[in-house]
Amino acid sequence: MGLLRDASAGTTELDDVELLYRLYGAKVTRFLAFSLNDSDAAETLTQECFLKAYRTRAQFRGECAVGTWLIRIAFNLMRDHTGTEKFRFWKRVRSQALDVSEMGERLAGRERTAEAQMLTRERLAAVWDAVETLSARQRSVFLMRFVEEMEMEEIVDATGMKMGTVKSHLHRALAAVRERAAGGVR
Amino acid sequence: MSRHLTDEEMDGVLMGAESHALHLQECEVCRAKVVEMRAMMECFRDGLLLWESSSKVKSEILRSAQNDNPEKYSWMALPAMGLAAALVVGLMVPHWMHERSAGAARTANDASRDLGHVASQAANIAPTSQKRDVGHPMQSDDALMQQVQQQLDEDVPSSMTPLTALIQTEEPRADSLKPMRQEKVN
Repeated sequence: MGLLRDASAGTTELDDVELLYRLYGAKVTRFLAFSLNDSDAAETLTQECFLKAYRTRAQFRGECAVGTWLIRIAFNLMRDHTGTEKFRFWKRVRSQALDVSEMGERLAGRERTAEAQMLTRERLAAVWDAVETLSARQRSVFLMRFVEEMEMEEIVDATGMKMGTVKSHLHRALAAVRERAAGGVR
Repeated sequence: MSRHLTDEEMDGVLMGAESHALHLQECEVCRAKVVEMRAMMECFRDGLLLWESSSKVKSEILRSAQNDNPEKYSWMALPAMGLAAALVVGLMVPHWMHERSAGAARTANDASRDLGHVASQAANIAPTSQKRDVGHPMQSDDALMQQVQQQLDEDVPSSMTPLTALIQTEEPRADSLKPMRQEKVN
């Protein structure tokens, strides 16, 4: 399922860590960066994620997409990582926090009219503010659904949570977004 | 159409449920709300995708830096190992010489006690014989040791200071015994 196979070599993308990274690196890094709001930690965990996937590739049974499997590994690594004292320290420092205003400017730059640019900035800021109020798990589930566009069953599979829990996290996230949007956004 | 969708029902739609498709076709208010929420999510997603491109650049830089490191270390390895070896020799040889000289000094001390006043007379001519017999291993060791001790003065424990004084005064006596003995025989 979703496994790219090189017939001539008799291998899949799982046998080539470089190819694996080329195919899914951006997805995993993005997921980790916005779950943690820390680009440096995200890059470190991305490397760990791909090394772990490569070492344990024999355990992959093809029951889900490779991307989903990688997100599951990343999610578990993140859960372990956020529990460490080192992470808490760096989280306080927040030196590598992502810059939403810069992101908003870049995104707005693609719009033609000033009104559209302003609307884009406001929408991004509203969702960003809402996401920042969420717990790490709620944020991860939100990103899986609305950024990675994973199906609900895939999220259940990736996180190991029950469907009800996943829905509950998403309701909470969407309520926060709705609240920010109704509040006239910043 | 009896009522509008609740927030929970609207969240269900955003999560992928198709149960309210008919209502959304008929109700412009609810449809507008769903469209706006989807637009916000798209905006957020696009913002994150934009960030991804800059992250890739950073990853490339990091990877290049990591690739450069082994080369740096390879050409630095030889001088570093040489320096380390020199340090070990520089520290161990004086220590070994110190031990050796201290042993010789003890032997000389015993000999001088046995010979009584002959040894004390020999002490008066010791500096002269020391200058003449520069090629003698023990004397060259003494000269080296004095140099090292000056450099590593702080490394000599205070309890050892009398011993170093003893080496400087007693050792020449032992060497100077030989000509005296010869004189006596003659």
